[in-house]
Amino acid sequence: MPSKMKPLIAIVDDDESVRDAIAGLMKWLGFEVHTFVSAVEFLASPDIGVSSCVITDAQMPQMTGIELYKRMRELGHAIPTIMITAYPNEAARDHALAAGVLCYLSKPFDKDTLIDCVRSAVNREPAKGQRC
Amino acid sequence: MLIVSTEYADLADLCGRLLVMRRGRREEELAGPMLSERQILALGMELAHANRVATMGQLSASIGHEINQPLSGVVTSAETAMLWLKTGESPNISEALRALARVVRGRRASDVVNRLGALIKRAPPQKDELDVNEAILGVVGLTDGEAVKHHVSVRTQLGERLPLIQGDRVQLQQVTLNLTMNAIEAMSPPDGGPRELLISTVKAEPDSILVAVRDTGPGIDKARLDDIFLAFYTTKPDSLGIGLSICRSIVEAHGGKLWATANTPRGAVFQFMLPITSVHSVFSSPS
Repeated sequence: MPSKMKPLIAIVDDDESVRDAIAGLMKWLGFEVHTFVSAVEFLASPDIGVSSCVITDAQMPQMTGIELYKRMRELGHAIPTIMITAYPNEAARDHALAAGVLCYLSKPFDKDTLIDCVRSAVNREPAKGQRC
Repeated sequence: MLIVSTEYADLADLCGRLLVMRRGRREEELAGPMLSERQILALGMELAHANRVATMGQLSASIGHEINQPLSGVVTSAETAMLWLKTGESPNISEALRALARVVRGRRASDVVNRLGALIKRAPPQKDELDVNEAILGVVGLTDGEAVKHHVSVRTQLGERLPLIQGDRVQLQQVTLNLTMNAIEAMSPPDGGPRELLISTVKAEPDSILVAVRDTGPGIDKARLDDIFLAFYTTKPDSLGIGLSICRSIVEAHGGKLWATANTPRGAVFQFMLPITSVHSVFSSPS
């Protein structure tokens, strides 16, 4: 694949086992993967400008997944976002989806669902430089 | 004048005041025995039960979260390993092994339960002077409904004039509740066998009280009698397998022992021994 760059997937989760597991699955899918232990770390990284998809935990200390999503939007980054929660909650789910989050999954999640979500995220990724 | 056991006195008081508020009467009008002792006790039991259910609900939500987290990683890594192995004609063994190494690290999920056990041991224990029989009767009251529902007959054989022990009433009631519910559940499958639950207490040597919960269920495989106390070991499809492990932590924090044996002619016996010795020495304060 000399001419085409692999899409970059950013994984934000404070739990190491989940982070590494999702990273492994993304690698199998053939994507480039970068992992972050917090929303703050991701926001401060240059990846925010070049990621094709963000997979984030919903509940994290400091900044939650939905706060991260809203902050990205404020900063002008319309990155398709998949949120994964260990505390499934209808209201939070509705809120996230209404705000524009692409998929909202519960841990432990079904790998095929996650794969479908990521593929659709990568396909709908706005052209580089496009701002929302 | 209402006579209620001190255990439920506060709850009864609350019930009384709630009724006063609801009926808009002056408190003096309640001076007569508007509620029988039995009714008050029933209300108290109901409130105690609701309170316990709420606590258990919170506890299981937080345990669920703590376990779902590593479990989620384990499942995904195992699936990823399979994907690497199934990839076309040339399975990628080294990538599959890397994914499996992450699965093995997921064993730390059991740390969650060990931490929980440590939490119970660390929590400043209530050093109530308590009557084991009275604590057990409270639990029997809570489980009556379940027993009736599953056609289990419950008998108690409580030793007379047992010395008081020092310990945490709620924790010890949780142990008894857990063992009792397990016993009822074990006898639930409709196999036509007898459904008798016997809870007994007796003074044992040296200076201890022995509590036994006997059922007439299918019993436990001899080879598994020790394993059932391990975290995440379970024979039940909908169970996390942490109840007995937590029970053992609680009993050990009281300086006692909890074990299981076979009942005769059928079923299982869970017994725990609690020392009568002052708990001050057992619960040495963590300095």
